Amino acid sequence: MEATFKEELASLEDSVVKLNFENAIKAAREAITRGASLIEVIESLRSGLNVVGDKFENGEYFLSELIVAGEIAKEVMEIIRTYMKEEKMKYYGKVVLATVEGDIHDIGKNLVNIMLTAAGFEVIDLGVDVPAEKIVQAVREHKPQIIGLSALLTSTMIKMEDVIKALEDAGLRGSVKVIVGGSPVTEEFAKKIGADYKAIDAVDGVDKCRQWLSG
Amino acid sequence: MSNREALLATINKKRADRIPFVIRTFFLPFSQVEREARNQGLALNYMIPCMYTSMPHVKVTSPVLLGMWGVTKKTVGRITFETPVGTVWTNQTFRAFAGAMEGNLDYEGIGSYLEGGLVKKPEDWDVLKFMAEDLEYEPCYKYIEFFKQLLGDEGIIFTFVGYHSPYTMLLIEWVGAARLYIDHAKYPEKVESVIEALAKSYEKQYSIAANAPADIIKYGDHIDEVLVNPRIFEQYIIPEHNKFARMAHATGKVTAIHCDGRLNKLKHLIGKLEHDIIHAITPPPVGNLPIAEALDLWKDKILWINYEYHFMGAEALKRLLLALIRSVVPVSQGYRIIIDASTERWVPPECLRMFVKIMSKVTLPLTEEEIDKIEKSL
Repeated sequence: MEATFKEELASLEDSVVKLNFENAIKAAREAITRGASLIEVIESLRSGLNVVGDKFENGEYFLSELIVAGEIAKEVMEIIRTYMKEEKMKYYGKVVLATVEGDIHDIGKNLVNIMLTAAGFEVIDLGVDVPAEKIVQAVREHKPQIIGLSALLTSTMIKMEDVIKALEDAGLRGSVKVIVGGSPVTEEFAKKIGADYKAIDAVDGVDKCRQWLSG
Repeated sequence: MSNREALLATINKKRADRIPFVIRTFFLPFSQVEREARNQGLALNYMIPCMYTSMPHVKVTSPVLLGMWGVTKKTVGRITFETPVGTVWTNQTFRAFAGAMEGNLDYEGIGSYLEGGLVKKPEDWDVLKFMAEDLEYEPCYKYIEFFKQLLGDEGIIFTFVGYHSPYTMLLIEWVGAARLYIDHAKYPEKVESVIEALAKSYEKQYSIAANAPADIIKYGDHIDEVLVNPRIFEQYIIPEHNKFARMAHATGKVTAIHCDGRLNKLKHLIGKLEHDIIHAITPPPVGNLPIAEALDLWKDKILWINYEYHFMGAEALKRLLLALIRSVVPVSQGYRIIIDASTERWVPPECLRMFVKIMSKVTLPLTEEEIDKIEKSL
């Protein structure tokens, strides 16, 4: 039995890497049916995503492949959630994500959401066009360790500074790390506005979040 | 040379007497700042469509723009496309404030936008295929002719093929990147059939655009290496664009592709395009391919540069613009480039003034010594 579910776990990881929806879903279901724990399934999923992340970093895969892998992970997580009454999810940490006010782009943010979830984070996604006050409110309510801000326009990324200022005014800045990302966001800009980190891409951002919370 | 002569010389790969600097008309409100800038040589560029498009068997419904009568922040409405094989819809956000401002664009240059996308389930791809096959085009050149007379020597006229090429039409307008990537992996035949249907339909509009009396025919495509990776670019962008470019070149037209994103990973593939102009190329730090490197790689191309540094303020703009023109001296002596002052939003007055102050002093062939003199004079 154990040998069989280990094969399914390997097949799951391989299917994620090869971006095969059908085989990944099938392997996840089979692994659980044959006795794999949910944690073991999540670990295989994460291993597959890590390989996808490596391929992205060495230029073999691109955003399109990350998104497909992320969607496979999301569908596998939905299967896992149906079994979750027996096993409790332990979260690594909590992250609030938002695309800043005036900006409606969300591909990068959504990808980060999926990758953080698969990595074991609890993610509160506030969506797009989110005013600073709403982000501050979310920090008060959910007490995340990290806030992720996204913008795709030079005219909207300036709102990231508003968010950081609003956190300072609310006395909450010291309680969260702020990670920013999006194509026009430069390191210089991130430093200028007082963000803690500027993510190069989704893979880099998730790595940084992990690093922060592993102490 | 007049503004128009300098622009035409550059786009036809002849030698102008200066680096033409232009602005899109809808980014430049009539004003004292505008008059000063134009008196110092800022040229104008109009984007005028050359055809009507319609889908005669598709019923399109969309909410009324409230902002035409009052000024509101935004209205979200549903836009619906009903066809005999099914209905698709998406949310469209109207920035109603734009209705009260010139050009129907708000300060970010965006009038309205689609949210989500038209595909929510696999069957919706069949509806998109119907829509693609139902597209019809009717030439309309009279506005191009009118604006040519109006514009005179002040600048140049673009027209365009539709808006985006088949793949990017789905990527940006009809479906959205995430859904397209996912469904392309899950339902490849459905997605490919829509791309093919669009490509077949577009052949009708290529000949209309190729015969339009505009100075430049632009074909899409908001290219960025993150959304359009090298594999996608090679498979879907190059063949379609070259098909059009050949048709337009046969009628003696100058063609362009809009590449305003990050291009470093695509730089060798862009060289395979047969277009004359790489339009809206954005220098670092916002873009990631230095202009001098692009000029050196693409020796047969004109670079129409998007200058996006106004948000950094006049001093940073000055520093970066001088560095930019310095960088091109060894590669092209300033030839083969045009600099577009417009960005995603209206240019702040002090920035436009600084931009024009610098560019109005540039003559060709450009030298380091001349740039030093310009810098000292500022």
